[in-house]
Amino acid sequence: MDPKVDRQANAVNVVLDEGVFPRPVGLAAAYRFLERCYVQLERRPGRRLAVRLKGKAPLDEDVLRGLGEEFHNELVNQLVRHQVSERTDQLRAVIVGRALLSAEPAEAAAAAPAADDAACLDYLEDPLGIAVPWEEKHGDKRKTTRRGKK
Amino acid sequence: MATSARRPDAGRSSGPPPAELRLDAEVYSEAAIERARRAFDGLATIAVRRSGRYHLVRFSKVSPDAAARLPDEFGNYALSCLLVHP
Repeated sequence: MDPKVDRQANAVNVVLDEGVFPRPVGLAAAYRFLERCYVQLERRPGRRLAVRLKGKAPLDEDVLRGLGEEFHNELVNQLVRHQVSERTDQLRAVIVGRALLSAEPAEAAAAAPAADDAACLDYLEDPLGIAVPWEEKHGDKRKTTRRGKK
Repeated sequence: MATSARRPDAGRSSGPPPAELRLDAEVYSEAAIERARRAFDGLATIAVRRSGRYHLVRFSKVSPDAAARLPDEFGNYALSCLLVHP
């Protein structure tokens, strides 16, 4: 899987085993390189995928080799993402399902207080003390505590 | 490996000679190539045909500004379409 530099084509070629790195992983890794180079893929016999990374500007051999090595790292990165994504597939479906369900108008209406209940509520009543300023609620206590500590 | 190669075209005297891009049909879907073709339509006349396991994309009447990098950019765009619009 060593990157093979093709100086004449200003490119580096990497062949990956799709048994190790499935197609979506290879594609995702290639996608990350689109901004930096021209990427072309080709299927090879024996479940292999050839990837050619061609410099957008002329690159020297070391840079091309480095590009190939970075591609290897990106493959591993994308493989981990792919595996985590597969493992958490059901969990994500449940979370999204719940989020969508709670956003349904019927569900939201059921969760809201009924009109009759709302009618008996008075905004002037403040059973939770929401309208009381923080200083009134806690200010004196704090001063007392500080004084007490001194 | 998919390659791009310039071919002489005796029928056209103006502009750069047509270029051809060969993309593996086992990797690049027809939908992705068609999407790329439509996106690059304003820059060249693009003809796509199937030849064995390859899509052959032929660019002619290429805008001079884009001629040097058009096939490669087309390949990149087709690849991005594979992921963005699978």
